[in-house]
Amino acid sequence: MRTQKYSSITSCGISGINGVLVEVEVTVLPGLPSFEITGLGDSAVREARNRVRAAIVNSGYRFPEGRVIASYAPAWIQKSGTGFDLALALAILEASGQIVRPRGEEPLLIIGELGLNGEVLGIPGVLNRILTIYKQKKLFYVLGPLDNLLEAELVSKIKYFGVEDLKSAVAIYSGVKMTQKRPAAAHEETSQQSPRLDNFFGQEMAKRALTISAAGFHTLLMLGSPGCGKTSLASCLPGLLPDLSEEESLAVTMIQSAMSKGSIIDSLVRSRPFLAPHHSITGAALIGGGSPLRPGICTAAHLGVLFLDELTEFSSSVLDLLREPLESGQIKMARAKEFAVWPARFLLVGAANPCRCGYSLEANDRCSCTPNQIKKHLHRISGPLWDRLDLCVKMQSLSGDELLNSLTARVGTEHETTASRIKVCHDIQKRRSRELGLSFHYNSNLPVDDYCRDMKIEKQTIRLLSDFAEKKAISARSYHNLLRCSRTLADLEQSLSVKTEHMAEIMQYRLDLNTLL
Amino acid sequence: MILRLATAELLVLSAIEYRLSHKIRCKLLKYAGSMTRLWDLLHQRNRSDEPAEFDLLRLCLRKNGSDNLLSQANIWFNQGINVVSVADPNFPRRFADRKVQISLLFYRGANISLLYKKCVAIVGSRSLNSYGREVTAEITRQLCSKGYCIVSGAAEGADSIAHVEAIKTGGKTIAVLGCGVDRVYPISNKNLLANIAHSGLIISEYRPGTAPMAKNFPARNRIIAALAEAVIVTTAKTKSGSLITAKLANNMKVPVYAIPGSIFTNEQKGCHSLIKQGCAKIITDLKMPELNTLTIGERATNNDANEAKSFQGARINQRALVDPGQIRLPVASNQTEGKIFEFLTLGPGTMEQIADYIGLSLANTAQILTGLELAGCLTNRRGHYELNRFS
Repeated sequence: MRTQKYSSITSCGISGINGVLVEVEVTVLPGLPSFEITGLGDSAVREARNRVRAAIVNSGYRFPEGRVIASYAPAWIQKSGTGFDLALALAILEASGQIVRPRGEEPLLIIGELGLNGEVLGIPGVLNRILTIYKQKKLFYVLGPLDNLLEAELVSKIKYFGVEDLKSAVAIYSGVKMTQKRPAAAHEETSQQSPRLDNFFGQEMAKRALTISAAGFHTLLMLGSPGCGKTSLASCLPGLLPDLSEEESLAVTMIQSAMSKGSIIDSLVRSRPFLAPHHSITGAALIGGGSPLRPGICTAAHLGVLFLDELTEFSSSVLDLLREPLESGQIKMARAKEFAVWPARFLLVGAANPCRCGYSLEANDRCSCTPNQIKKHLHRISGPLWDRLDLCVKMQSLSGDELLNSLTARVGTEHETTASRIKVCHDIQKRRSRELGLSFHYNSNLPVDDYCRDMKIEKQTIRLLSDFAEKKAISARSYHNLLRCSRTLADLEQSLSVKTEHMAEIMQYRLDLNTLL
Repeated sequence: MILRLATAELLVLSAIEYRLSHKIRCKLLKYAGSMTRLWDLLHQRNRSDEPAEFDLLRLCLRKNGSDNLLSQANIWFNQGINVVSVADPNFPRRFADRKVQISLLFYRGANISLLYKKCVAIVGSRSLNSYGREVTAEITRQLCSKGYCIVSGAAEGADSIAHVEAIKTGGKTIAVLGCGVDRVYPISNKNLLANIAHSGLIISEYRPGTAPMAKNFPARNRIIAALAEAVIVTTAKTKSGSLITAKLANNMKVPVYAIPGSIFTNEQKGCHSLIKQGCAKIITDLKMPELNTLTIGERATNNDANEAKSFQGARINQRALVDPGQIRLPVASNQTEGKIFEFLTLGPGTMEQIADYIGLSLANTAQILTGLELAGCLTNRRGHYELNRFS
């Protein structure tokens, strides 16, 4: 009886931002020469046939004759990407009897893409795969591309072999001990210096609102004339926000790894993401979608800033998709075939013109829009979304004097002072959430029932708020958000309790749409 | 009444289809003597002395079918819509006197006699600052207390305030629309129009159902001007539609008055230019003694005069009136507030400008401004703070 020509190797794919273990099985059957891959793969998976055949032949091995069938199990899960190439090649070599895994070796998980010359190429999402097996407490050694070595070593508990070509992969697979090569010294990343607050003259009110917003992750809308500095101010945000903590950083790095398009991740991401998509963005790009489901910009901005410039120009149906993630901090996608939950706790910062011509907030009569036109313009953002915008600041063009002043370079410490105040405020919030046992620690997310106990709001403050709520007819959400924002302001001022002065100031940043008409 | 509406519909349709001019429509109506008679004549055999255009009307009648016309008229009638024409003896003479070409006037509301009352038109911007709001409201109250009926265009802003105040004070008001009388435009005035239909009068020269098209509104303004003994422009920017009304009124020799404002702002620039060009007289006294010399409305029968007297006396809520001598600024409780008021009397200002002027930090300024806003002394409009008068 002839020996069974079969091999099975464990690999790992990506679904959304999580890894999915996949068994790559190969068998060589008698028959006319052919090579098929089954198991719901996308085009990248199917095209592996050519890459793998070329890599095997060009590395000096023999591609088996007969009918080669590869199956990715579980066969009902959609697979995508090129991460299975290396596992497939090794499985083919083993099934055709060219290599063999000695008994007693540790179980091996194999990932990586193959080039036609047998080179092993880096893939996105290595960190996600490794974290998945780490979380599932499966004991694996991982064999993967050398390019991803640094990324894989971020999880120190898992042993990772980085290889650069099929031959060395074969060697490790066959149990030959090899010294681990290191990838070429990581190119020194010229970190882009984000603009400093000092360089920005005037607009003190907007700066104040920006600080409060960054301190407590409160959504912010900047309304103002064209060219008054909305975008420039928002671009200061990455420099103002404190770096990510260890735990946050791992979550963000994981998302960036899964969504990376070819860039190599060699260390944990410390700075907060800042995403500013163009207003022509589609719904699927914003919150995720497609088949198989892929996360969108919202998830990429997790724990960072989502800056929507020209907010009124976005398609209103796309903007409305933000309503749930703004509340819950995550995106739950449900499709007939799939279900996914992705984190999406971002700071939404919007910028928009107050009317079509853009000048209705100016003191001169440059704006000739009628109230109806302004209403139409503003109603491109739906009422429920307006309600979710916690802070709003109205900006006017800089005056001649201010413009003149902005020409002279200023060296100041305003940027550092503000950044450190925000840092202190974040620390206070962290401490508070730890006491409350909350996982997420920004004031914008404080649950309602914890207010009275933990936000230390003075009675007079509540009285002022009730007075305001009655006069302005605000929603319950706005009511609570006013409380949350003033808690942040009190934290910024390092005040133990929320005083009326904090609430009174926050009320000036509350938008009443009627005042814009 | 249904016959009158059906005739009106026929005239409107034939005017569209056969380009019947205003003159011809007047001729036809005058020949028939009344709208119902016109309807009857059209259903009779040709008469030798009838105008040639009767054939056109008959053609139109055959084309549309008198049953269709009647059922349409019935719908309108059920909506409370009514019509008067030049053939009617009670059609306001002012239109002919002032050479305004109107042959049909659709209306909705109980009180058609308002058309012959002494009316004053109040017009102004759609977007108002607090000064504009207050002055429009106060002028309206004063005029109502003198027994004038307030004519305006039911647009947003000054028009709405004039109507609302007139109804509140127990006065009478006429809304002249640029669309059909059954339409609501702008939609925000839905309740207001319902109130006017209840206690005042809504009129329009357009067939019910006509959409509020932009070209209708300047034409609507000529009716406002023609109905009024005087036109008062309360607020107007340099390119305001109120200026059209003022020009039309000037051409009709209707006196125009304009209210001056601060020269630091743009809100009254249109008024100022009217006064400067001599198109309008300046109003310096809210009691407006100049209006006492105006002629009283046409056909002021004894009955009407009595009615005017009665609502002068009883129905006006005298307490709602503020003595114009007592226009006052909000009372400042401390020096800082005083400084803010002082700054804002020059014109609206942003929070940064105010903070700069009073020399406090933005945070402190914001706190004070919230207090003043909640106390009703200030309003924020388009990022600028304004003083509220009469607070």
